[in-house]
Amino acid sequence: MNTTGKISIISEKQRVLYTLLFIGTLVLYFFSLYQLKLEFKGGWENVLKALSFAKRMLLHMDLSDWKDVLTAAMESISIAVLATIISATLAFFVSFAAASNVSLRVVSNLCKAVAAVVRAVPTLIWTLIFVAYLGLGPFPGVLGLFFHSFAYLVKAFSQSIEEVKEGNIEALKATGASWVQTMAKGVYPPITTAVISWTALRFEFNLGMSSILGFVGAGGIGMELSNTMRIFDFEKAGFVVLIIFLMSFSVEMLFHKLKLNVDKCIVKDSSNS
Amino acid sequence: MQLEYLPLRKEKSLYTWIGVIIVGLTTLVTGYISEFDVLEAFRVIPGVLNFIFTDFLPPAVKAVPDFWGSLLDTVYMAIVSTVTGATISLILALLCATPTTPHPLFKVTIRAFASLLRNIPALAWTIILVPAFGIGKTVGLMALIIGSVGDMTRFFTESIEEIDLGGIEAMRAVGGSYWLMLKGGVLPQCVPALVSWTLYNLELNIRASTIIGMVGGGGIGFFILSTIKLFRYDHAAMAILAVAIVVLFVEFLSKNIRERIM
Amino acid sequence: MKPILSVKDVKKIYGNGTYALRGVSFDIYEGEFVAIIGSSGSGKSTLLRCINQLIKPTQGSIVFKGTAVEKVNKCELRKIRREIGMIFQHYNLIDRLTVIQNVLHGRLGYMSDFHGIFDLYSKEDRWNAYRILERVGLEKEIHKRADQLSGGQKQRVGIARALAQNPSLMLADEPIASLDPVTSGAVMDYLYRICREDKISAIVSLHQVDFALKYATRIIGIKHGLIVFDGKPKELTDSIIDQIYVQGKDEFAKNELKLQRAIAI
Repeated sequence: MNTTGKISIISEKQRVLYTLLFIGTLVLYFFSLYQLKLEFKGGWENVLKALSFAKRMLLHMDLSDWKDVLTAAMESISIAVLATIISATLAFFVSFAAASNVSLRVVSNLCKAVAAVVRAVPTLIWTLIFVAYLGLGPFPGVLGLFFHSFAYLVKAFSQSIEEVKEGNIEALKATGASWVQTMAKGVYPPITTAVISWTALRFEFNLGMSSILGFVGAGGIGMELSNTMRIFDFEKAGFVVLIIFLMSFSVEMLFHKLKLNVDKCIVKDSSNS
Repeated sequence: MQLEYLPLRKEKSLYTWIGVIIVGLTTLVTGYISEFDVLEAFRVIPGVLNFIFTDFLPPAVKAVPDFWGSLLDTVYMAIVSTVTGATISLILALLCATPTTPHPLFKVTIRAFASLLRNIPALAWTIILVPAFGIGKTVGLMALIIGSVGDMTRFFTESIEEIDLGGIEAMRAVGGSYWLMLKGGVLPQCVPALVSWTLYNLELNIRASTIIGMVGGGGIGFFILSTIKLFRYDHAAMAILAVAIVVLFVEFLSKNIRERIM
Repeated sequence: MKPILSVKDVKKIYGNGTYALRGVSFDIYEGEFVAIIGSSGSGKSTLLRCINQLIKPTQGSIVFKGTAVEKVNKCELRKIRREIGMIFQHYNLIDRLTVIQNVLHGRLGYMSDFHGIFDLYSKEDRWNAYRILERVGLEKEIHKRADQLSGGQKQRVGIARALAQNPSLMLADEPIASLDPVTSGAVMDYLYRICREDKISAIVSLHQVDFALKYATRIIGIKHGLIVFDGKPKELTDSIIDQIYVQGKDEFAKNELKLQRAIAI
C-alpha cells in the first residue's frame, strides 16, 4: 500500500458518489444556465430602480388602508387555519387506511398513489382549478389548500403509523381488542407528537400559501398586494408586504418557542408545496 | 369493595379537552371569517369532480409543443436557483452558525436577513421585483433564489450547529487554521445533511417555479393560467400533468440520492 | 379429562418458503405449566402465535375449549383471544401510557369500540386492575409511564395486562429473554405463582433450560419446526438436550446448557 498517499476518511464508494454528484450538479447547472438564455437588459439601472422602489415601500409606507389590509390578513389566516384543521382531521382518519402495517395492502397502495398524484400538483394550481369552477372568493381558496394539505398529511401521518412498533399492535390484538381499539390504544399514543408536529409544519406552509392565494382570486391578503402593485402604489404595497412578513414570522417564532420543529422529519423523507 | 373512582393518569386529561374546545372554536370562527360552509363544500364536491373529469380530462396531448419550452425553462430555473441558493446559503450559514461564526454580529444579522427572505413567499417576491426588472425568467429566477437562500440558510445553520464539537476542538488543539477546521472538522460531518436539504429545496423550487410563472416569472405557470382563463381546460390539464410528472420524477430522484448518501 | 387446548398437525410455511412448523401436535390440560424449549428459529414463537391466530397456520387444527380457532369469524376470534393471555419478550407495552392504562388494555376484548376508545373502563375493572398490580408488586407505580419502568417491572405489567383478561390459558413468548438472571427469576416466580393460584394453564417458551426444569410440569422440545421431546422434566436427558439445541459446531453452547442443568438439579 502506498504509505505516502492520502488516507481517505470516507469510504471509496461514498467518495465516488459525492464526486459524481458534484460533477453532475455542475454540468446540470451550467447547462441550465445556458439554456435559460437570461438577459440583463437595463443592468444596473434596474437595480437602482429596484432600490428606489424599495425606498418608497419601506420609508414612505402608507398605512391609510390598514383596515382593509388587516381584514384581508385575517381572511388569509382564517383560510390557512381552517384548511389545516379540516385536512389534518380527515387525513388523520384516512392515514390509518394508508399505512401498510395496519391496513390492507390494496387499500394502502391505492391511498398512497392518489395522495402522491394530488401532492405532485402545486397548491396554487389546485386553487386555480377551484376558482375556475366556483368563482372568486375565499371558499375555493380553502378547498385548494385543503386538497393539497390533505394529501400531504395522509402521507406524513401514515409514515408515522408505519414506524409504530409491531409489538404494540400484536399485544393489543392478542388481548382480543378490535381493530378500532387496537388503533386507538396501541397506534395512536405513540404517534400523537408526530401528528401535532406535522400539522404545525403544514400550518406554517399553509399560512405562506394563503397569503398568495389572492393572486389567482382566492381571497386573502394576496389580492391586496396584487392590486397595489398593479397600479405601482409602492407606498401601500410596502405595508401589505410588512403584514405578510409579520404573519409568517410570528408563527415561525411561536412554533420555535413551542419546539414544534419537525425539520428533522423532512430531511428523512417528504415533499412539500 | 372500594367505591371511589380510580383515575388513569395523575394529571387530569383537562388539557386534551381544552385543546379540543380551542380547535373547535377556532374552526367556527375561521369558518365564519372565510365564509366557509361545510354543507356547501360537500354539495360542490360532485360538481368539482365532474368539472375535473369532463372538462380537464382527457388532457390534450397536442398541447405539448406549446408548453414544452416553458416546461424546460421551469426545470432549468429550479436547478439554477437551487444550486445558486445552496452556494450562497452555505457561505451565509458558515458565517452564522455558532461553531463557525467569525463574529457574533454576523449571527444576528444573517439570521434576521434569512428570516426576512423566507417569510415572504417567492410569488410575492416576483410581484415586488417585476416593476423594476420587467416580466421574464430573470425576475422569476431572482425570486426563487431569494426564497431558497432564506430557507436553506436556516436549515444549513441548524445542521452545522448540530455537529459534534469534538472534531472542531481537536482541530483547534492541534493548532489548525480556520479553513482547516472547516475542511476537517465541520464539513465532513454535515455534508449529508446539507445535500439532503438541497434536494428538498429542489423539490420545493420545482413547484415554486411553476407558480411564479403565473405572475410573470417565466416558465409554465403562465401557460397554465392563460389556458384556464381561456377555458381551454384540456390544454391546461396536459401542462398540469406534465408538471406532476416532473415533480414525481424529481421526488423519486431525490429520494434515491438521499438514501445513498445518508 | 378434556384438554383445554388441542393442537393437531399444525404447519406453517411463510411466504418466503421458510418452514417454521412442520406438523406439530400436542394437548394441554388444565393446570399444566408447559415449557417449550428450542434454539432460536426453531418455531417456538410461530407456534405460540398460531394458538391465538396472530399468525394464521398454513395447515392443521387448533381447538381451544371446544372451538376450532382457525375457523371462527372475527367476532368469535376476539372472544377466544380475550381468554388467552399473552406475554412478550419485549413486553410490548404502550410506552407513552401509564401502567394502569396498559393493564386495562386487557379489558378491551370485553368492551365496545366506543367504550374502549374513550377509556370508559368500569369502576370494577379499574379496581380489579389495581388489585392485579398489587399482586405483581406494582401498586405504587400505577400512574408511572410505562417507558419509565425497568425491564423487570415492564414484564410484570405485561403479566398484569394478560391477567386482566381473566384468561384460562397464558402464552408467554420468551418472557425473560431480555432480562438479567436475578430479575428473570423474580418474573418467573410471579408468573408461576399466579398461574398456579388462578388455575391458569400456561405455555411458556424459554431459552434457558434451567428455568424450564425449575418451573415446568412438562417440557416440549422443538427443533426445526418439529416436536422432538414431550415429557416430564426429569425425563429430559443430556442427550435429548443435545439433540434439541446443538448441531455439532456449537460445542460451547452445549456444554453451557449441560452445566446449567447440572446446577438446576
